[in-house]
Parts: sequence; C-alpha cells; structure tokens
Amino acid sequence: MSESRDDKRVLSGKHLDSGNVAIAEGAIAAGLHGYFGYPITPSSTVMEHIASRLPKVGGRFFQAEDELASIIATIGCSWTRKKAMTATSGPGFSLMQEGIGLAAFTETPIVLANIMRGGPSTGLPTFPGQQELMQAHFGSHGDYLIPTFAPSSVQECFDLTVEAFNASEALRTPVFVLSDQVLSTLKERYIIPEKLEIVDRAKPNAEPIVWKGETISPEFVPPMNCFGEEKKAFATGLSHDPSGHVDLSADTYEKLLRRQREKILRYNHLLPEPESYQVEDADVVVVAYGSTARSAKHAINLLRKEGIQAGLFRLRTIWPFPDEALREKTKGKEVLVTEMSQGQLIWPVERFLRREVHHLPYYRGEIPPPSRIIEKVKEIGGKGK
Amino acid sequence: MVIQIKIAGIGGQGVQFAGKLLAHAAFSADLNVSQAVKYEPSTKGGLTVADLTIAKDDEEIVYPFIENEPDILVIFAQRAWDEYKGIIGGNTLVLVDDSQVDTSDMSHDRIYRLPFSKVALQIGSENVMNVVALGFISELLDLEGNYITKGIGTSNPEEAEEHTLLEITPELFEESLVHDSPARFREKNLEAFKKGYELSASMDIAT
Repeated sequence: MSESRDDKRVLSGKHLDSGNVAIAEGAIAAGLHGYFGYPITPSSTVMEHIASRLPKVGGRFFQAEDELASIIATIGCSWTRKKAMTATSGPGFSLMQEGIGLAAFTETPIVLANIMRGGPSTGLPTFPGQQELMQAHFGSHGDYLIPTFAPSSVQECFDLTVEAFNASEALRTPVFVLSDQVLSTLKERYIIPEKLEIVDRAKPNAEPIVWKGETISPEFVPPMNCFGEEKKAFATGLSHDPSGHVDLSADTYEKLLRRQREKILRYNHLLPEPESYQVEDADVVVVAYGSTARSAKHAINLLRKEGIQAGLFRLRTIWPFPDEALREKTKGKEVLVTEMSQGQLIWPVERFLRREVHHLPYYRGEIPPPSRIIEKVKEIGGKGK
Repeated sequence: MVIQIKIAGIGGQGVQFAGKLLAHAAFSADLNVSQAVKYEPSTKGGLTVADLTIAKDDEEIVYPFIENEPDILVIFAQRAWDEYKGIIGGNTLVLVDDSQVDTSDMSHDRIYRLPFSKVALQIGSENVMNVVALGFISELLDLEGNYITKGIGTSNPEEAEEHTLLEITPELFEESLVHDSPARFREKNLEAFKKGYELSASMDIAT
C-alpha cells in the first residue's frame, strides 16, 4: 500500500482480502484508537494488520505480555473515551473471561473479536470450530448479556465489526465479534462504502446520542464519565450506584443488574437481523451461523434443484438470541440445527422454540460439507415435488 | 461460469502464494473470486490446500470450498495426491508435479504429469516450482496472463501505477509477486512464470 491510501481510516472501495483483515479494517473505519493483544492462531492476522495500519492513522498498538493484560488494557483505554479492541482465539478467550466480566459490569465499550478454532484446550489451532457460543454468553462468572455478532463472509467481517463498535458505544457495553478460522483465512471481495454511520458514546450533561435514527435513553445507558475529564470518574467491579461508587445494597444491586440487561434488550431491534433464505415455502429450515451457514446455503440451493423445499435461518446476532424471528420463521416446519460443535446452538434453539429439533453436529475441523447437510435434510423428510 | 481450482501440497511449497496471485489476477480482471484455505499447524511439511473459485462479477460464491470434482486439481506432493485423488471427477483436469507425485494407483485420462519442479531446478531453485505451475494455469485460464507477467516485470510500485490499462493498484501491486518474494527470487519468479506459461502454450489441453 502506498502512503496516500494507508493514512486514511476508511479505505472506501473494492478489496480482496481475508476475514481477519476485514475485521481490522472495520475496526479502523469505526474509529478504533487502541488495540491491545497477544497473538494466537487463527486471530493473529487481525493484530498483524492493525499493527501496521493503526499507528499510521493516529492510533496506538500494544502487544501485551498475555491475554489477561490485553483485555484489561483494552478496558483501561476505553475509560479514556477512546475506542479500544482486542482479538483472540479459544484459549485466549478463556484467559480473558475475568476481564470480560469486569467490562460488562463497568459497562465499558470495547470490541473483542474471537476467531473460533476447534477446542477444548489447544485443540485444533489451524482448523475451525464453533464451540464458544455458550462461552460468549456465560464464560465469565455472574449474570450479564454481551451483544454477540457472527459474520459469515469477509464482507460481514467488515460490516459487523463496524456494527460492533457502534453498538458498544451506543449501549456502553462490550460487544463480541464471533468469527471462525475459515473466515479468518478466506479471501473474498468486499466493499468498504464511501460513508459509514459512526457512533460515539454519550457524554455527561450533553444531548443524548442518536443511533440508527433512535435516541438512546440516558436512563438505560448512563453517559460515561471518563478518566481525565472534568468530573472525577469511578469504575469498580463491585456493585455500584449510577455514579460508579461502591454500593452493595440489595436494591442498588438488583436495579443495576436489571438495567444492564434491559438496556441491551430494549435496543435489540437495532442489532444485526437474522437472514432468512427461502424459508417461506420450506419444509425444513436449517439454522446455522458463521462459515457453516455458507455450506448450508449451498446445500439448500442444491436441494431446491431436486425439488426439495429447504430454507436457511442464519443468525447474525447470536446474543441476545433472535427468538421471536426464529419462532416466526420456523412455525410448522421441521428445524435442523447444524454447527461445528457437539451441541451449543441447539440449546437456545430448542429452549426458545420449546420443542425438540433435528441436529447435525459436525466437529472434524472443517465446516460441515454440503453433502452431509443434504443427506440429513433428506433423512428428516424434506419432501420432493 | 464458475471455475474451481484446488491446489494442494505441503507447507513450504508455496501453495497459498500461488493461490493468492491467481486470486488477485481474477480480482483485477473484475471477476468474483474466493480463496479458501486449509492448512496444518506445521509451517513446513503439513498438508496445505488452496481452494479457488472464480465466478462472473455478479455471481455469488456461496460455498468457498471444493468438496468434489474441481475443474482443475493441482498436486505438488504425494500426501496431497493421497488425500484428494478421491474427488477427481470425469472432467477434472489433473496437473501433478511429475517428480514428486506417483499417480500410478489411479487411471484417469486427464492426468497431466508435468515437470514443474524440474523446470524450477533449471531456473536455479526448486522454490519457484509454484510459480511455474501458476504460469501454466494462467495460460490455461487465459486469465489475463499478461497481467501477472507485466506486474513481475516492473519492480517499482509507482511505475506500476501507470499501467492504467492493466488496472493494477499500487496496493495490489505491492502484494503481487515482486513484493511478496524476496529480492533474490524476483528474476527467478518472472522466469518461472514465463516457463510455466510457455509449457502450457506448447501443449494441447482443453479446459
């Protein structure tokens, strides 16, 4: 890249690059200031790209000694009103869990990209998995709800990272981008638009901010009083009142926990919507996310050619789970969940549909091949014409 | 129109590099393209695969891997042959390096045993075997073969910018062969590409 292009934050135009580079470019376009990370396959190329690009647009890059320091430094950076992120994979995500709880409870806007590989433990460093769906929701101790977005293409790696920053700023919350190893190395064309909506978090005693045409209520999302600003700032992992001071009383704690969940649910409709593909007349609806959904969509196209009516419900926001849309789109239809896990996505699907569904768990370090999905749909009884 | 090309070998043979250059060539020609990657953790010796799908500009590439019957299967190593000979379809054009792969356990009338690494050795380094193969494939696909050749011939990104007809952006150029290969390989890579291209042109292979 020449200097003239390199020093711009938004590299508008058509590109051919990997999902990880698109995540990095999405972050920079969204206004990332500080990146703190520790390399781990298959997330390292996010860091590598940011290390070369971010300093040229006035940001800061820091390689920490480990994942514990990375996540805490990310939180610290955000408390100076600067946009901050980190990226990691499996084992690193586990190491970051304590800090993630701190970010959630202190309502710190950060973005964490977790590029999933096969686990547990060191597992399959260079092969994909989808085994951190539950960890994204329940990984740290305590109750919390962190918006979690799952891209399925290089274009979405860019788009959903921008969305992640905007959501984190608007709702004052950590946001996860849950990608996977396939997308991390997959090279595709993607387009960086000329104009992007960029959201900056609310300031105390200022007008409420507007996100996607909607005013964000300061009652649900209290403006952040950051370090180094006029008023003294407080942040604690203990239960606290709206000003950030320690308060362990039952009422304060209950109110705090309730508001932190409700602020996400209240603006749920502004988060990336699920994709419904050929579901209207489908007998069988395949539910999938991430790179697995690419295989499912291909399988559906092939099944349709045989006259078998199958459709796809693809999650783009995993948490909060799009339960209403799922119920509506799968009413009276057979449901097949496919994922690169022994069974994680199937839990919320069955819980929200309140019924048993079909399952194709596939954990062989690759996305389930279309032929396996086709076979399974036929077995369920996708009817031919 | 969708062309699927699977290139498989072992780490260190430049499978992904060849895939990348091919993907960039297709991208420059305003085609839709994807390169899906599979590799084992070891940088040298592990199985590594590049699945390239090239489609029309407005055609969606849904599943980026090649499960069965690629249009072209390029094999650089015995392990890769053992792994992927089973997906060869009736129309699959199979290009194997003749000195590294024994294909006698299977008969298929479109297997071409080609001297990729022998040609590379003649040029002076076995390392440019991937670029010999790339030149060969480029001629087969007629994917603006000249595009890469001209790119290689110009080692200054600013000069490349002036090749407006070729629509090589400096960014693309930087990622092209010249900049991605160590200086000592530039000339060899250029020669390797030409030799591979010529080898293909001298043969009568229908894609």
